[in-house]
Amino acid sequence: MKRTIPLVITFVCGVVLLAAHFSPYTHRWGEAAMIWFDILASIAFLLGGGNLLKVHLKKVFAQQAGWAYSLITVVAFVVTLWVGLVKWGAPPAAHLEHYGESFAHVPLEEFPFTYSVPGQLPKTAERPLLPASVRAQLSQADGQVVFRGWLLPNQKSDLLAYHPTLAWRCLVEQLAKAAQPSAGFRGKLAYYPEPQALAFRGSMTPQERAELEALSPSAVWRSAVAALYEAGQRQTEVVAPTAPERFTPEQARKISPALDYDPASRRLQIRGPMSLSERQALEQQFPLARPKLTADPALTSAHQPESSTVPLRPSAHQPGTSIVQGESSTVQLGTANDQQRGFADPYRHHLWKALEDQGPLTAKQAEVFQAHWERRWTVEQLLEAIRMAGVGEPTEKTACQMLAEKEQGVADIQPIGPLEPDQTLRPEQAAAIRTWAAGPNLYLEDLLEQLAKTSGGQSPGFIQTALQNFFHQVPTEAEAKKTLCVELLRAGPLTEAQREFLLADYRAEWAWRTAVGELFRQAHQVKFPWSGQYNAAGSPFWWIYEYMFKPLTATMFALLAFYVASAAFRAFRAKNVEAALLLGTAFVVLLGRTAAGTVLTGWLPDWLGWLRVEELTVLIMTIFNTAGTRAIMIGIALGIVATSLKIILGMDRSYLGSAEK
Amino acid sequence: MLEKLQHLDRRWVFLMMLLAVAVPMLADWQVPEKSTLLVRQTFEAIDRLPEGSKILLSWDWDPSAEGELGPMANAFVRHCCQKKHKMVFIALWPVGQQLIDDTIEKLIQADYPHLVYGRDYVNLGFKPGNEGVIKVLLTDLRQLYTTDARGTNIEEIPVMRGLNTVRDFDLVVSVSAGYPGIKEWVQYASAAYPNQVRLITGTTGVSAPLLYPYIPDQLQGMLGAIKGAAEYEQLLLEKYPPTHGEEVGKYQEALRRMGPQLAAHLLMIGLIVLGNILYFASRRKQS
Repeated sequence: MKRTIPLVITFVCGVVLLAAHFSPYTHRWGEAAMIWFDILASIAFLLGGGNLLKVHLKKVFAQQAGWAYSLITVVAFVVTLWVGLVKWGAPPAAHLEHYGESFAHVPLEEFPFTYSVPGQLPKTAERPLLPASVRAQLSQADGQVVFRGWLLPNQKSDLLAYHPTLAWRCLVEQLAKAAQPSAGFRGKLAYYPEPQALAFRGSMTPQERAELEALSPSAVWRSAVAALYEAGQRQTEVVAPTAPERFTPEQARKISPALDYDPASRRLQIRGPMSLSERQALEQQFPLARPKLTADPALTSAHQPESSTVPLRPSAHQPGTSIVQGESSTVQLGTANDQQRGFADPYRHHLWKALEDQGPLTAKQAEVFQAHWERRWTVEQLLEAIRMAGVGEPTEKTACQMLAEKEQGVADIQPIGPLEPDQTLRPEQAAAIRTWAAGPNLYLEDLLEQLAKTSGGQSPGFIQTALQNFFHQVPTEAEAKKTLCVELLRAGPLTEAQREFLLADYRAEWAWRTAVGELFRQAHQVKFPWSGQYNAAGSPFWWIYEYMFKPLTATMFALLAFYVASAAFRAFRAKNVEAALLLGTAFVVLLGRTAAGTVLTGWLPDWLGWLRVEELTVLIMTIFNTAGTRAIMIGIALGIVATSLKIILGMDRSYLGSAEK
Repeated sequence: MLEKLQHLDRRWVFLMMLLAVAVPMLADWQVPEKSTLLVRQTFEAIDRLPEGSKILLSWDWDPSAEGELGPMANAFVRHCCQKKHKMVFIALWPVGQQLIDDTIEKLIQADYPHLVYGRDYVNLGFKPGNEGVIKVLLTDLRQLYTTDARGTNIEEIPVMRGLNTVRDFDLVVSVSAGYPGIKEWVQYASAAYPNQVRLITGTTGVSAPLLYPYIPDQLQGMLGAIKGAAEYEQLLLEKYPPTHGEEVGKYQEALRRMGPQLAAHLLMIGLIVLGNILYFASRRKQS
């Protein structure tokens, strides 16, 4: 019996797989057999792992020859398995963590709020099921479409895409409008059906707690609100080794009321979780990179219409000075190019002078500096971005608007409404931007303040959006100097003082950002600890792969070159005609795989082209090699057929661990 | 002298090989490359596809083959980026996933930041099962790949729209170092659907001779070893010179390695000739 069962299984599986290959009617059987094969193979892996441990541990405990290698094998196996399986040190998946929010469990059936709009769920043969994101929450009763929970933006998109009719899309819009938290909590409160969690953004105040608890008498609801309140009161703090020059407690509270900062002890505190935008705002407390100043065309033309060479802000430095020590005929900065453009950029000159004062620089480094400066942002680019943001865009009609038009009998319904009016940048606003850009330390909030003054209140929304989008891509001055340092080092050496000058600010910035990052990490309440990737950058598994597995395997493969050379020298002998033929072929292929073949026989005329080494290599590979390989492959295939039949029919039972036929 | 050479310590051979590889490498010695027909066919297989074609890139190798296969993998991806093809990465080897991550991080994100993950390319990661994976891909890939490597539902990934089986791709590229690899792709995908699955490969020097029988019907193109990669790089740099501020050296790795390869091959030939001279000299002496 012990032998009969495996034989029967082998026979049945073999016949099923054979049949599945030739008959489409039995494909499903073949797939089922393959699934079982995979399950068994997985178990075999487990057994294999167990066996590996057993064999090597036995060797280690018995102190047999080579036990140290066995110990290394066991340790490597266990460590890799451990860090891979438990995802040790791997951060959770960012898109599932809902940074800045606290979660409390509320089962969907216990969620106290349902919303309904008159209508029916569409019936389609193509899509019998509702979108997965809303399936558990959406239902139909008494001519109403009922939704339990608050409709999330992705759920709205899924529902809109579910059925193309205007009536359905209008119903979804109405539902999306109705199924929302009360006005004071929009953007703060959410319900996620997948983890069945009530979520609150930031730190809840006692007043907000009272208002939320008053919404429903449900015990589950009240306990969830209490849990969210508690989570939002948790205090987290870090001590920053350095702090931005202008960072104050007021500045911290402006970012978030839950943030606090003590300048004396440099203690940074937060109540509740920190959102990504709060983290970003905290990190961006350093001056932005200074722009590449260009002549103001308006000023130039107004003051000197016949010439474009009026300096906007003349350089205090003497033009024409060589900036490269000992190389007088090399690139000159702040002179020729500036004269062509009609002005000099004092900050660029200052930066170069400061570098020059602290050590020599080569001509190549001067070119690199010039190229770096050319890449800096300009005021004109910023003004253009603001102008573009002010261009009015067409408004998109809602489905309900289009449905109303349809009901009114409009023949040609257009989904696009009238254009929004253009908004323009006023001259005093542009002047304020230019003045700010010429200042010593560029802080975005200073610019917003100046613009607000010129606008008589708050600066217009389109300017704020444009500024934020534009400066999102602009580095800080410290980052720009660090980049310059790296580029200059690639082009030539820098003295210690030069490096310090370029990197000191960035070092302070980095320390602050690290402290902010640490505060963000500590304040965050992890929702799904195992959701991250086991091999995420920086995790122990990643370190093992990057710094052990990769170099070790590459080294093992590279060792082949040495052994092949040694073996060729000792064993590759033309002992007979066959060996001589093999030797000749090897020479041709070895030469044909390099440029040497082309050099050696490239001079042959075209009618003798087939004798060129690279052509001979192709001939050998495509004719002789292919013929030989085909013969081997056919032989192997016939062998596999014969052996498989013997196994299926039980004539070969060696796989059962016996030589019995 | 003869005696001494016949019993030459193998460490001298190792030292010679070290110098033959290290000196050209340190001197950055490069040799000119002229593309062969097979490499041109491989290049054309990607180049002739219209912009936005969907390409399945199967990373079936591990870091031990990085020296040979790394440059050709980079060249294939750069070519796809230049042609604005949509790329779907998978791996039949366990560490293939890390290699895909490397490619995405160091190549696509570094040099083609305008390409968006999910819209222009996606990493579906590694799945165990060897040729079983290929068989499932032939019938319904969504059965096996329900999410990408980051855990995003495959239904929510724009680049995967309309892709249900391998036959929906315009081309399959397998960078292959052995089993499972291009041979399995040929046997299970290309052989099963001869006119519907188009395959090209980049493979190691030891695997290449075994694949010639499949060319050109079941395998439309092949890059064999570092030589194939160098020729491909040359073609790519000629047709698509760097314009995005890419780090050019990254795409000349194979070309750089041809100098050391030439020196090593010449050393091998020299050693074989010397070995035979010694052999015939000792035979004459004995007779």
